Amino acid sequence: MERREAIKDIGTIVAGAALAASLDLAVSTEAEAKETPEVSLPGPAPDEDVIITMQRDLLKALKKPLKDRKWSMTIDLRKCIGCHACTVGCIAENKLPPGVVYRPVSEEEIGASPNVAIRFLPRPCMQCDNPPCTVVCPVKATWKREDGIVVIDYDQCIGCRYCLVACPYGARSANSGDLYTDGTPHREAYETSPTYEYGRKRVRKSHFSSPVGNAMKCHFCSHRLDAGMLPMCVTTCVGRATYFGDVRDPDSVIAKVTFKPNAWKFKEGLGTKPSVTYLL
Amino acid sequence: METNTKYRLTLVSAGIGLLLGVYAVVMILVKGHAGTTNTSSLSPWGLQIITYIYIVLIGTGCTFINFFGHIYREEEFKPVATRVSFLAILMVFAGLGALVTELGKPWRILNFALSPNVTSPMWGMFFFYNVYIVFIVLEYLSLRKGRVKPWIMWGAFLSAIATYITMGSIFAISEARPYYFGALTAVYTPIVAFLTGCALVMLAILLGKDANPRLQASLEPVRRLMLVALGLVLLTGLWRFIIGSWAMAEGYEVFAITAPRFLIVGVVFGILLPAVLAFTRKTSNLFLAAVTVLVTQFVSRYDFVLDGFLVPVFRGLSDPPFVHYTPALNEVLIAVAAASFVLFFYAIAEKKGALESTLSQEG
Repeated sequence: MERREAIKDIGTIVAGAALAASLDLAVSTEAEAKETPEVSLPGPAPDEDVIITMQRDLLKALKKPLKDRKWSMTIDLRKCIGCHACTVGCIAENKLPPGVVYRPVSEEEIGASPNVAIRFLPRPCMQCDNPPCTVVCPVKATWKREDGIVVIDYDQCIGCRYCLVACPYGARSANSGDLYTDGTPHREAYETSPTYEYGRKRVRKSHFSSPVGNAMKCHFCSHRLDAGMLPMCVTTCVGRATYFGDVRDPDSVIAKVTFKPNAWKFKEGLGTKPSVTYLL
Repeated sequence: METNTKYRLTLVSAGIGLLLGVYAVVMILVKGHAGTTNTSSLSPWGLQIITYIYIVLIGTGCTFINFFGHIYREEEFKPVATRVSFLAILMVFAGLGALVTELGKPWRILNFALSPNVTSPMWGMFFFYNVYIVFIVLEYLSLRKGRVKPWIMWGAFLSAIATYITMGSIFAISEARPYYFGALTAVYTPIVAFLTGCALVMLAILLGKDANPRLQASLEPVRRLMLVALGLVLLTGLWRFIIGSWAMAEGYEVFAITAPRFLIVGVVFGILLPAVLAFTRKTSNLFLAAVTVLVTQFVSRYDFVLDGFLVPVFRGLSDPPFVHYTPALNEVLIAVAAASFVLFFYAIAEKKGALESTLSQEG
């Protein structure tokens, strides 16, 4: 069955490649601009959780055409408590295998004894406006969407891992097909159950099935966004340190918290223009 | 040892190497990369890529030597030209074989042609490879017939330069990896090719001259070319190291961390020792010089690829401060198979007389 999928891959490539090469971007953009999902929220309240406010912002943004949105994330490092709920939430949401982490958190020690502090730095994909990972892909399997999210076409990716080398943030991972239960007598169902990244159901039967063998990365939970939900790392953030939304909406939470004097962008000097901002 | 016995022994040992490689390829295809290779997200390229780079660079060096030989010392190079050209072809296919096994989805390699991204140096390398392969096959065929056309030699030389400068650029444009980044890396690649090509050709001459005494005439020009190549590699390698060591930006500390190994293996054993040996002109010393170059350059390619990943660009909580990689058995077997592929077909070609110009055979 898995081999058949691989053979199907080749057949698809040979038969429809020329057409797909020219149309793939347009097709995916069209598919991504789905209808705004119907999600009802209570009316605004003065003491409402920022998650609800951002959810409201999200639904508002989804009413705009794809090209008019600009998804951004801002992480307030003063609020991050290093609980790794975002990391775990992301792994569960995207059913990530061992060795693939979309949102790790690093721990840095600042200062010298006795004046020391710990700083936690969550690192999603920066969704750069000038991404070094997309230009190096030899087969156009990764590109930046109009709404700012850098995506991967798992059916196009050849697994050369050049994008992993080119990303200055280490935000891309290689899916070798490892399982958490490798070497144990029982394989857990969640390790091979379908994934829904990029809004497409994918059955993981063996290494012949994508995304095994592909490069993988954080995509701001684009499948959740399309369904009117915030990225998993935002909703699981215990300290409410992660803000998300359409930065082009001046009334949104994200726009209000991002443009501050204490805003900082990771490795901005490389010219990558990250869409993720940190507040120090 | 009798020539026939030597031939059979070569075929058997290379055949075993090839079979081991087939085993490794089957394992990787059936099981996938999990458990069969040791690359990871932190060290995405491993021994298969190292083998590929090492082997194709030697092949390119062979093309360079044929070109210089044809342009400057045609008569002296004539006896060795056909076998050098054949070696270049074998090297390219052995290297590409190792490369394909490293891909996560090798059956999608056609996407290079079907969905080209011209901004990618990797795609550029793929494009120039096709041109290069056409030229080196034409070069071999024309050398075999004894009717060498200058446009073919120029075409092979220029396409080799284009292919391997582009290959060097795969690393050179990666600003994310300070160890790779910089124009000198792209230039360094064909220069290393020149050196390793000289070493292999010297070895081919020394090992083949008993059976074919005419090869001896090519030895001195190759020795001189190797000395030039050693100088160029010393210059570019050392300058790359000095510039990297001077840099203050984050990530450049890798040059200091890897300095002892670079200076000992890359410079003392990789450049100075072979240069001293080559200066003596003694046959045994030339053999040793060629072997030393090939061994130390393999270590240098190994270090070059892996040192780029030594300092992770981002360290998650559980990530190590330095990334260490040890190749898995299957990766080693693929490296062995790539070398065996060259040896196997070279031995057969030599036996069948395919390494000589048909004109010289008639003569």
